[in-house]
Amino acid sequence: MKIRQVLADTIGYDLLAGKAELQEFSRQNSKAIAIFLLLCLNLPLAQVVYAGTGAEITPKTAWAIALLGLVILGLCIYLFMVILQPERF
Amino acid sequence: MTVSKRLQKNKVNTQGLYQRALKSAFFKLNPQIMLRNPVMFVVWVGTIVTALTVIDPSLFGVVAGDNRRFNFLVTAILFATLLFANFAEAVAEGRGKAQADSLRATKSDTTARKLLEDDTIQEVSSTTLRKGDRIKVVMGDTIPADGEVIGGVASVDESAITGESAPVLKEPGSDVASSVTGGTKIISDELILRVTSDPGQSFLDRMISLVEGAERTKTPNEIALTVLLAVLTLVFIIVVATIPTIANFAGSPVSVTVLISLLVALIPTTIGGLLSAIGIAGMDRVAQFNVVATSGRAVEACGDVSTLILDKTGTITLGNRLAEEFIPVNNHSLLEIAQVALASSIFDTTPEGKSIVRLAEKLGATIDFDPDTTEGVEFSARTRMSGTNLPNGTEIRKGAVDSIKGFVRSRGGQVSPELDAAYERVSLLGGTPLAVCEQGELFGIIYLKDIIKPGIRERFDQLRRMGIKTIMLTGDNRITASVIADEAGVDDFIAEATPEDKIAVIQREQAAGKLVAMTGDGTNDAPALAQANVGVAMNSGTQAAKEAANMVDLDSDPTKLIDLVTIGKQLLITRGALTTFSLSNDIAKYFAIIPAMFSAAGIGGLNIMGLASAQSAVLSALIFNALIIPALIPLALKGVKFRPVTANQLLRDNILIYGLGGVLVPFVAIKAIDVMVSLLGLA
Repeated sequence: MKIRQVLADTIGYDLLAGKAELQEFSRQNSKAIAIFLLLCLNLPLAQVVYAGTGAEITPKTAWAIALLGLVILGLCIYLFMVILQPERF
Repeated sequence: MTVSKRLQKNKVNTQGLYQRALKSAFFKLNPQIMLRNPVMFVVWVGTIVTALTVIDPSLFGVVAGDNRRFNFLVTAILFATLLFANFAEAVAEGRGKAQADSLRATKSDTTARKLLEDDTIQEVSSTTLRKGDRIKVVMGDTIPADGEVIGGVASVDESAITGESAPVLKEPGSDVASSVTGGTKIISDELILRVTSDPGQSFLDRMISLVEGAERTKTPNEIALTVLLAVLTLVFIIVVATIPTIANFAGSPVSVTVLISLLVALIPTTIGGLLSAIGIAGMDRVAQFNVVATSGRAVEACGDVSTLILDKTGTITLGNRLAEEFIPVNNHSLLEIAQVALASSIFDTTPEGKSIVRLAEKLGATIDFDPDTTEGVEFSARTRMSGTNLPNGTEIRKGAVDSIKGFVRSRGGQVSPELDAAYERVSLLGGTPLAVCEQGELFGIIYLKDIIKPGIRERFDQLRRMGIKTIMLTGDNRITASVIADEAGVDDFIAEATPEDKIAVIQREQAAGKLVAMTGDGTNDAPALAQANVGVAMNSGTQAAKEAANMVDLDSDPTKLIDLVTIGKQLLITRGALTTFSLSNDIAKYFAIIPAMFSAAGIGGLNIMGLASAQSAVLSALIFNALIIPALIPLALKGVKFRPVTANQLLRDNILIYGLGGVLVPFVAIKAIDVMVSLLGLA
């Protein structure tokens, strides 16, 4: 597939192998994964709470926060890669 | 040479080290380099975000108390944190490079006398030599490459490599003295060598690349710690990311700058910044002890070794066994046994064989056959005999007493009790008895004397105190082995061991869950050295042993493992101690930043340090977070001192010092910094 090829060519990451590793990791650490997902539940809940506060933000601020959110997401993906394939780093 | 003298002798030139490290710290800000360290990469990203808030303080929304000046100070402190972490790594690398430079200075492109197929000599540059080439080195020459002695006898000054100026005799056919290292010097006579490494692959080159860290990969322990740090960082990112909405709901909005400050204060930046410096410094310490290690994994494994298996000859003893006496039996005269001993050793090129020839000739023995028409029988670990087959069919043998007894019986001869008495007499002296016979006729015993290396007993005592069991393996008989084992002070011994026995012992210990280290120098040690978790070959040993091992001790000291265990344990303990300290620091940082963030929510009472203001609390915590990294650089590079005490005692002591200390020190330090920050009017 194209995405697999692009990932393999640019950063040398094998998507299929990574997926298999993730599945194996989830199977071995199901309780830890469950706690982690509960923690992540904070994130969508937090947006609902934030909307309820009635705070006003400008379009510029909205864009900046959205980009910051993407940066945080990127950092989380990077840290997951470090956890799953630490020998690459 | 004592350790302190060796370390002093190997002292490298560190002039300009810190300036170069500071420069390198800036170069390491390259994101491709920062990506290798997950904790510091997150700090790097955080620094860029806070830098954006300096340009536009209202970028992520307006929060009371947030201003450009505060954002600038936070950015500067985060940038300093990055620089300090990079500086720590750069200092460790710089020291390694300085050490590599001092080793490189011993290398030189020399002219080598290459022996061609027709034995003529061609002068070539040492850089053109390849594995398998034959070269001739004479008195005064610097040996141009690592090699195996195939001809000649000479004294070699190995001080360039080992620091020890006493010359070492090198000759072919010996497990103990048949290999030479490039860069050492011939003092007398000449040698014919077979080159054993290509340019760039010699032991000196491997040592240089080890200390330079050019080919350093993360060890298993480092990888495990990196995963732990990444997990903690991920958890803290998610927690911090969810704080703004809760803070808004609680009526205490928090700016992105303060959130990033909280994140950086919580993630383990201390150990994140010092982890690679600890590893590099550990490898450099190994090199300072004149050990070439193929990987950091082997050094780490040393820290957990519980059993050490040693060869006897050349490892525990000096190895150059010499014929001391002939003991005739069966009414044979001294001259008769000398004749037969000479005949059996005429093709024996080992130092033992040559010493038998010398002793026999001294007693007036001569040979009455033409060696060109005679067949030599080489020694093998299976037969444990060697000798000569004469043209008239007569077989002359010398070797282990049991093997010779079997040979004599197979040729229709008898074994007299005299032989056992002579054998026991030699064994009780700690010597090696070799029986000698001609066909089915026993002539007597050759007494080979061996000497235990000085200071061995004390070193084995030290190993015992560290919880390491020592086992001596030897092909010698039980009585000799028992006498030597008792004199050397090893915990256990196995006599009459074949190469398969050595591997079996290692496998048995490994099956019991122990990490086994093996020290050896002979070709027959190679399989066992490869099987062991830590294989340490003597530099004076054969090339096969050195290739099979994962470490080579240039000082050929079998008890060097004590130093390697200390370094291995130090590496692991230092990482553990600084990780504990780093995580313990978080407690004080919680009490600094959280009350400051949520003061409007009414938890100002948690400000137990009495910090002046919310901004000064954040700045103080961040300044402490940054300054603790350079403050701990000396400890990271030197390593936590290892004391040979029990594991429980060590754990208790280190938890008290680094755990409790890590909790208490930041309280005092953050308060002191807060006072300074308030005095300077920074917040």
